[in-house]
Amino acid sequence: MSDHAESDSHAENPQSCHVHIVPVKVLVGVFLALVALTVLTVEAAKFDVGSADVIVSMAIATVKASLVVFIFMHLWYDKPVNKIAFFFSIVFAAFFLCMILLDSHAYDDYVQGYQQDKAPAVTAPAAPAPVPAPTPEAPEPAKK
Amino acid sequence: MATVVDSSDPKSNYPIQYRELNYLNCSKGWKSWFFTLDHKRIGIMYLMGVTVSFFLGGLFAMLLRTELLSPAKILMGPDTYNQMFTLHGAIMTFLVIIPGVPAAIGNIILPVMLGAKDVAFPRMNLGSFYLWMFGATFFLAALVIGGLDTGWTFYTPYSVRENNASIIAALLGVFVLGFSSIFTGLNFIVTIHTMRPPGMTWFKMPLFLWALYATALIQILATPVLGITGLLLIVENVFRIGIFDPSLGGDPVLFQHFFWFYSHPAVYVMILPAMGVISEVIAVHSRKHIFGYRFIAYSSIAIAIFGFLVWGHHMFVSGQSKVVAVIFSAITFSVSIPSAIKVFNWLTTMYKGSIRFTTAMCYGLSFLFIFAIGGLTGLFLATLATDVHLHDTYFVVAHFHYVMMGSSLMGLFAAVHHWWPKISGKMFSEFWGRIACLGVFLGFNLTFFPQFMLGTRGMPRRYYTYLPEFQELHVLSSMGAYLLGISSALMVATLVYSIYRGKKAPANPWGGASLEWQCSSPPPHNNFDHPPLAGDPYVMESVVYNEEIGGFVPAECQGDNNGSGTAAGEKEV
Amino acid sequence: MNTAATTPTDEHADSHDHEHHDPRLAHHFDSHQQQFDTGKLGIWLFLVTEVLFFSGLFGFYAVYRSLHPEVFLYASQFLDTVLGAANTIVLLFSSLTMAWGVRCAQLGQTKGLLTCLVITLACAAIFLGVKSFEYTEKAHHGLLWAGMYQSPEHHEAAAVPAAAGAVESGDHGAAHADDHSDDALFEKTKHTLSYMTTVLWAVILLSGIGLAALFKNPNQKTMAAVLGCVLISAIGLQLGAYASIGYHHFGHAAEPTAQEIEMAETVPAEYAKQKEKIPEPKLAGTFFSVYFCMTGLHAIHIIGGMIAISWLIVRTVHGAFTTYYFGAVDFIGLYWHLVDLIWIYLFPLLYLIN
Ligand code: HEM
Ligand SMILES: [Cu+2]
Repeated sequence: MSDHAESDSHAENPQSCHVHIVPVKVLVGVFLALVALTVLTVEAAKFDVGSADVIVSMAIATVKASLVVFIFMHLWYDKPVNKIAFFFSIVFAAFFLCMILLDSHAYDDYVQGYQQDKAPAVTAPAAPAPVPAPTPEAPEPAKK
Repeated sequence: MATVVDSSDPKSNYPIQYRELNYLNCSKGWKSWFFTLDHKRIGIMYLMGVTVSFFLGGLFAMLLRTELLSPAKILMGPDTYNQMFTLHGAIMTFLVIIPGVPAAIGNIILPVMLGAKDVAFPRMNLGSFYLWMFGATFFLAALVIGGLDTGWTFYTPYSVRENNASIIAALLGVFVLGFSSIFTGLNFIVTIHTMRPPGMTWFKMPLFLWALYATALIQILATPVLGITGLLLIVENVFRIGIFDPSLGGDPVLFQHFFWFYSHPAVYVMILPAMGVISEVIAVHSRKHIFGYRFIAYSSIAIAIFGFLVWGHHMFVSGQSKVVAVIFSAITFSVSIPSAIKVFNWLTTMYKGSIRFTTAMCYGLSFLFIFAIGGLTGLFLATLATDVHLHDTYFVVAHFHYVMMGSSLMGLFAAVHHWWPKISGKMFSEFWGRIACLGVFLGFNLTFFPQFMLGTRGMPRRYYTYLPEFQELHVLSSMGAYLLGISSALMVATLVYSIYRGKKAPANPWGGASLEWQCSSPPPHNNFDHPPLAGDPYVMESVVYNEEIGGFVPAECQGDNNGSGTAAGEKEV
Repeated sequence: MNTAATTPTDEHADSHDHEHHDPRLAHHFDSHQQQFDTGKLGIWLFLVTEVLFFSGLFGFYAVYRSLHPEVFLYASQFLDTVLGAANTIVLLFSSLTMAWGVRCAQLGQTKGLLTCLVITLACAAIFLGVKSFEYTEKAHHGLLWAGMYQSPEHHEAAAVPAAAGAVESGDHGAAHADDHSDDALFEKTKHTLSYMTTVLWAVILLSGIGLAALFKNPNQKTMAAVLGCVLISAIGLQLGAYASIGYHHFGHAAEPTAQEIEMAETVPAEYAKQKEKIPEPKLAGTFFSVYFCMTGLHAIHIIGGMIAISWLIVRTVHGAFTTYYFGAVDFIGLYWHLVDLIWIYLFPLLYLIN
């Protein structure tokens, strides 16, 4: 937890705050690493590796992000609660992304179909005229 | 009876029941309210705001039901009708039910229950109240501008169009209200984590706090998505970015995903705090230790987490893919398990308890009855094939009114009555309170039970007219609505009357064992003179009734007054 | 955040919380440690909400990129990787100074803290300056969100009628075409810049006044600090924007040849040609919707961060922070790192699509 090395010399003083203090060397080192990774990701993007592209650049970004989170943001030395909180935010965001990705692929042809049906009139009506009693349903293509 | 012990009475060996100087009168003037950092005053301002919104939303409901007395036009045409139900839904959800229990009651009770002086971030607390006011203003603006007829769900493409000032206003309102709700939730989580008193471990916490904690988790994890959804929809309306608008290549179903990712968890934001209230009310008014404490606590968290995994059940017929629909249907079934666990635990708590039919308990029992129906009908809707028939019919309307109005709002009513002596320092008339409760219960069921029948027979929701054969049921429903309206007015009147004419309340009128009953009614500005020591909040034997005071006092005080000193110990006050 | 200042004037406020007459400790906390831990949990939870807030935009991105990869491939070539990378490094550097600042605050080094904060603020402003140039450039070429998007093919060949399938409202006169020169772009950038600077001044001044009102008596120190912040921000903005104008200038003189040579040397001719001319997909504007939404929201967060940092500067000048009371610096630092973190993802997602 936080009762780590360099914190100031105060134990029973109510005016004290135990925290972890990151040495300058580490800070600068992390910064240099981040810059190096940025250059790396730019260079990596120049090679055409097909669909692995996203994976590579996201992997590098994640390494950078972890450096920032753990060192700059002190999460490595922080309380478990804070770690868990942040971890859960990522989990929920990831879950959300996965579900909408999974689903939007599955119904994409419906949406495409709608656009094809609407194609000629596409500039004129921005939205379908308000129906007397809107029943919320996705617009379905005429065919299919 | 009712010699309420005043702080100025030094010879009394009872805890202080009433103080001349309490949080209500310790400072005066409108500034002392509008700029207060006291969680109790902020809670009261929320409560007033919620009440006003409730009557505004209720007024719309009455107008809607009046229109539905006959298939012909009575008060309004289809367009006005559409706007009316949209405003009704949006106001009731975002301005009444979501802030109702957590922000209003939770604010007042949570720190007191924790024996803390205030919430962790008092300034932010006031800030979220003002955000709430600000959001409400946007809703009013939408009302004044007129033309908001998308339904409270803001489905695209209805919500993306030319004349959209009121849509934008309402969305801004939702955005701002979302942040108000986030900050309240954040405040609660931090408060519960860092400000519990000595002796209160996680499993010594009253269940209301567990419920608020679970709620706050949802508020923090889901509401930001509502924020971004609202923002994107505003941007779509203003700049036309083509994310949700199919005419620009956008994907309207994606909007539904975004919306329900928040809004299904949000229904648990509405119900969980009410469930927490019921845990308190049932235990206290049955004078019995809550049954299955850990199960109730864990099931709150389980509901919060599972609640995130089921949003797709609102989209079974929206073009969502089959695989996803099956997954969501299955998880929806499993989410009803923790709800059922709670219901069984409450029932078992009452078993062999000494139940008193106080007003709060009456609302609590109504909750049990209504929530059972509401939850079970949810399972009908979660069944894929059945939902194809029932989706967008009155069956859905009845389902969510059973859970939102019948359960969440009943929970709020129960909470208000349960804690009213603490909040206001006055006892209300139990007689009128119970009459009002009976009226609300009957009126509610009369309004919404016929809607289940209408739904199964194919009456679609959100129509201002209907086939003649539906008229009888619609008329019944409207009658129920009037009864419901009148009864809730009566309820508020009873409470307000008590402020002026009610008896002074003792510190512990019902015999609760959690910390909020240990400070005087109403509490002083800082709640407790000394940080209280927390024991098990459900050992009802630790307090015994005292004739002289008209309320409950710690068992060991009673000991020397010939009373029924069955002091089952354990309580160190 | 939980700035000190106990609730004023409650005659009956009970005696036991006056044991410590510490204005830095809010009345409802027992110790500085508790106050700090509380704030820390609070800010982490806030960051959680921020992550989920942005997750909506990442969802927007993910869905459209996976459904229409060709759109992203086509449109991202209009973003300037060099500017993006430069901005990344500026932001990373600001993160470094912020972290360093937190360290200084923890050790009670007020001077160091002040220096770090000022550099952070300046970096933020530079970032915005570069961004304002990029935005202006996009607008200049009509590369806007779906509703306003104008096909670049369209103006490249003003004489040729718009492609049959093109979706735009195509009433652009040929006279429009020569508006697309670089000089006009620079002029426009300067306009945007002065406009942005004015807005920024207004924002910072207003918030400065607001913050000054929070202090008991807005004295000269406060006013000077606020003014200093405004100045730093304005200078940073100009610096960023002019640097990118300069880069753009040189870029146009030198780059095509260099690139051509490289292309000619390394890639077969047909392939290079093919690569140059990816056909314009139908929903090209959607990419720019994503681009503007994501970077726009990020920029708003940067501006919010600048206001917060200015507030920290003002408080530092007043010597508010000590070894046991530096929560505010730490918390705003965390927020700032999160903003950086989001950019770390945005940069490859938007600029580096191959
Ligand atoms: C106990 C388990 C529950 C289950 C299994 C369940 C299931 C469902 C399902 C499947 C639907 C979609 C119906 C349709 O549109 O075709 C639905 C709608 C709804 N439910 Fe529930 N529900 C449950 C509890 C709740 C609770 C506790 C609340 C609120 C407090 C709630 C509020 C709503 C609302 C507001 C809607 C309709 C939204 C709209 O379309 O306007 N439900 N429920
Ligand atoms: Cu649901």
